[in-house]
Amino acid sequence: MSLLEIDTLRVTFDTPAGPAEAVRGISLTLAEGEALAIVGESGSGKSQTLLAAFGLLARNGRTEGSVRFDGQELIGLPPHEMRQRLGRDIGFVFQDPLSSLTPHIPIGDQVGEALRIHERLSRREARDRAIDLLARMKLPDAAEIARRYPHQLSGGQRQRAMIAAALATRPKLLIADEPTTALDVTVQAEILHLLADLRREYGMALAFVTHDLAVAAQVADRIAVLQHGRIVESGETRTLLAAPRHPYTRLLAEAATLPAAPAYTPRPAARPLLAARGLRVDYTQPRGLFGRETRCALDDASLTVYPGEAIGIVGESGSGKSTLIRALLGLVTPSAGAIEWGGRPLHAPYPRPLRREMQIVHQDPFGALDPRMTVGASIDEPLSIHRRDLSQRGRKALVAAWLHRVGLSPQLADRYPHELSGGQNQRVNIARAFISQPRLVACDEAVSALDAQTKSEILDLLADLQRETGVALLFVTHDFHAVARLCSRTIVLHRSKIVDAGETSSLMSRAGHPTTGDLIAAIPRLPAWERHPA
Amino acid sequence: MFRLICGRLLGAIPTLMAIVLLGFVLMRLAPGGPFDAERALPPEVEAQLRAQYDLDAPLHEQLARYLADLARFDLGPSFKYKDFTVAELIRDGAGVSAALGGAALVLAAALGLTLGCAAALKRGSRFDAAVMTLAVSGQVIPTFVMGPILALVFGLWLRWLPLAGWGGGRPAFLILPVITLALPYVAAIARLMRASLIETMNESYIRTARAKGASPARILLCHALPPALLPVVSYLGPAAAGLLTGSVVVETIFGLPGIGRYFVQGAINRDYTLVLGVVMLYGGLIVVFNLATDLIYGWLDPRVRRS
Amino acid sequence: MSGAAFSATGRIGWRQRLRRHRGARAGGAVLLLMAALAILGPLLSPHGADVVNWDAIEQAPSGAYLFGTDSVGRDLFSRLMLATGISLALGLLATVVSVVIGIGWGAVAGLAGGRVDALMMRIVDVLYAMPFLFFVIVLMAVFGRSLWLIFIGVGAVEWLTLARIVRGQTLLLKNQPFAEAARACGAGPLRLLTRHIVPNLLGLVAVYATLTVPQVILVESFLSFLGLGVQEPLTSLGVLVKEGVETLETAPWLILIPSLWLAALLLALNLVGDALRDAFDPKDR
Repeated sequence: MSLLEIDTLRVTFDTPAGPAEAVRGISLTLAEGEALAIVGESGSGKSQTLLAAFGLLARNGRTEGSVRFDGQELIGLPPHEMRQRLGRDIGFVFQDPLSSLTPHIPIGDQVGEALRIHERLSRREARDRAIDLLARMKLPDAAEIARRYPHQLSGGQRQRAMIAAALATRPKLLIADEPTTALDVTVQAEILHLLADLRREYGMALAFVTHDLAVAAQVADRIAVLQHGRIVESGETRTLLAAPRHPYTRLLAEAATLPAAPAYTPRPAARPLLAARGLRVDYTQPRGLFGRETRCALDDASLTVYPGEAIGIVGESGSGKSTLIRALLGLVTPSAGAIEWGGRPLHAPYPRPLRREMQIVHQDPFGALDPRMTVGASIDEPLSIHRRDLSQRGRKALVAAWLHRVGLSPQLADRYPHELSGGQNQRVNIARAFISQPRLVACDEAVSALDAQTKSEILDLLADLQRETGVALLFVTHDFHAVARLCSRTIVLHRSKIVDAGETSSLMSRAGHPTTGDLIAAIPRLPAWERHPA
Repeated sequence: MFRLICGRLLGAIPTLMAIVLLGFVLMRLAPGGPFDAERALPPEVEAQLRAQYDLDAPLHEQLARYLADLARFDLGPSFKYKDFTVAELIRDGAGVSAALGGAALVLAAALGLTLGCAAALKRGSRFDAAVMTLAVSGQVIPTFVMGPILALVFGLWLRWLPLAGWGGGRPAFLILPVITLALPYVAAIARLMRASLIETMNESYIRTARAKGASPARILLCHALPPALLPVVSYLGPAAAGLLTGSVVVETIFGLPGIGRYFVQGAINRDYTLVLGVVMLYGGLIVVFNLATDLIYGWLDPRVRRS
Repeated sequence: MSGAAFSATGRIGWRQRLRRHRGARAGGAVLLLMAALAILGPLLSPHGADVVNWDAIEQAPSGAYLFGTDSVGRDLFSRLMLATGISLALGLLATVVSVVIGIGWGAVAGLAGGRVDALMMRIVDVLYAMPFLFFVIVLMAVFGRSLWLIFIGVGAVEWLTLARIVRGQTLLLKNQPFAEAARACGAGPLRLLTRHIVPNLLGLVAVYATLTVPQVILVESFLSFLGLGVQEPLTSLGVLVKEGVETLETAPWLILIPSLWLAALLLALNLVGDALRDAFDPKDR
């Protein structure tokens, strides 16, 4: 008999805009000791399915259907009975450990809380068990960590603490809702290893929610793929990945493999477009009464960009990659170092005509557009600054042409950003960046906030535009897949320094600098898989 | 944490200085003066009074003397009540005002927090709607409107409580004034508490606690209430300041012999030492309240305490 | 996230949200009614607002005098309409003054940043912590009562809140990606301020301006109640309440009617302001 049986689950939310269906009839099963991965993008209903099954939905959510856990029907169960199950037989690990841990309660008490509730332990007993658990999570100095508060730990430590809290009562089922999405790739790898070890040790069933098919492959015996609130495909991991049937599954699989990098053609004869040497950026913050704290965001960075080439800039969060392009674009003033454009030295603030030559595409498609301006007006902005020679009509025509070029209907020019989707808005941002005919475009995590389908389309668009216009591209990301698709050269940053640079293909295959090697090794990827013709 | 205390203390000083200086400047700038209300005095008498009240010396000497006096809590003589000094008058009224303000604060906090919590927990119900409507009304209806109406209803029509006066401090005489003074703050605290608790209950860590099978009581008391209280604590500083303002009105309406009433009389009579003395006192109290509130907030929020 | 993403909150514009808000509708209706009455008042009532009539002292509401008369025989209805008009006018004017000063101060501080910002906000902090109202009263004690003084005093108290809010919002906007994108396009500080920051501020400013009007009216009423506000022949709601308190026992309508009227006015203004605030910054959960 299965541990968990979900039958035709439906979840609807009451919103001011009317009822919205998040889950449209999902059925799945999970046996004791088995690991199931539920894969889908945001909006697919993957988290809501499990939250609804165990009565943890938001106030405006309604659940229909049947959920049987360990033989007991959960839908319609009175709250106090549900409370007896939760935390004792089922443990939850949520996505963002910082917001999922109570900020004013010490870690030790939170880890032991389920024990106090279900096993009626005293505070001291619970604390001792908690320290024990934290040690099992491979946290050194567990006693010290138990005394601390969530904000005093790192992301990885917090997530381990959450896992410890969930496993305190030795539950039969552990539900992990995107537990590693908010963590760096290397930390993610550690946590996934930990989970594998814990499964061997405790033998519990695991329901793992993720958007990354490669992570699912690493963790689960079976996979269920969700799209728009329905299961589109499910099956044993190996069989599913070897021969995915549904186009959406194939799309996800493609996003999870590292493609071959574009070839690099060295051009020593050409004049560099942009050259930077020894760049350093410091941020000062007031500290205490009169002191000032200086943090170095970028240290001794040097790089050369040739016309028309695409360079990837990768690193984990806090590595300084965003700071680097902002320093290059003159949006941030470096504390030391020199920058040259076309051979001539540059000093911030950059003269206005130069601004035309370099543009930026941001990560947040909505945030990058003034909510009070129509999309057309936003695209027109660089024209109104740099192309005074054009008439009103001329500018309008150019805006329409570019809307078309990025794959949008020119009629959308009169819409506002909130009326368009994220993907559409990102195309608008790209149109705005390219319309002034720049020679360099920096993309700061430009596709990170998009779903797999849109991500793929936007990357293709950028590749096309780059080929067509001969623009140099600086592509900042923490995601190696995107870099591998677009960039022939790559620079790796770690803790505000450039630690490695070179051709993308060689970077990917060699161990190189220890950090790069770790980074590449940590990237979850699918086992060798052959792509079937669509 | 220690840095926080130092920072806040140092921050309070400019404010105190500004109050003191402003007071001094205003004192000296006033045209005419308290003597205008009286019949014209013969010049020698006026000169004598001027010397006695120290208005002859050069400005910087006056400032020095003023600061020295302040340090000794000597706020000068009252221009109007010739036999008393301002400090004495304030001392007389202090007991009444303190009783009034203290009781109002306690009532406002207790009632406001309870109603706010209850409304948040029963969010969307009719109880919630009723509490919120009452709260908005309570906050919006000025004290000087509510007071007379309450006096009318409970004092005149129902004859349950005395209309006005101090009655030597008997509790019955305090009830209406305290309620009148506390009402807007009950409302404000209730609204704040409700909004804050609703927002806290929507946090992810509450969901984690629910997922552990915690009872509603445990979730409320251990997880939700402590952070939800923080905005209310922040409000207590301004609330205390507001109570000071409100007490002026309430004492006037109900004829209570407190500091506030002296203040109003002083303003009408242009007895400016009295008026300025009271303002100094109030200003100082407000700074102290705000400081205390900041410190309590800093102590309660673990992110600040352990940073 | 992308357009296909499911949103548990739903997205509808602020205008729609405002129209749905019951409080806004009720409050707006009451406001319009009061404003109309205040303007038309003199036409509606046969009696003058300051016509003393010793034969009709303290008469209860009746056919001849809709709201009754006061202790010197003046028609309460006309006085009430006059008072409403004056209170509203004062409220609006003082609000406009404090809005202008507040936006100017706050936006400049927010945009300038660094030391300039720190200094400007320090001044605001110090002023904020002072018992301003009391100083206004002191000013009145010192310089005597005048309409201008009320005006300045009241406006001076209110601009501080707005300056803080505007500065906070400016900082927020300044750090948004679209502000950086505009700078990357070549926009200078002036263009940034006028094209991007101020238009995005107006919504918030409108909300707080609407909430400032009742505050101003409250302060003015408070001063008038203490005997320090508006003087004859003008009258205000605060004055009417004060006169009502004096005749509490003999003529209760003189306290009840102006009190309830004032309360209703303030309530309506606050409802509309709250509704605007909710419409602009919904936390639908």
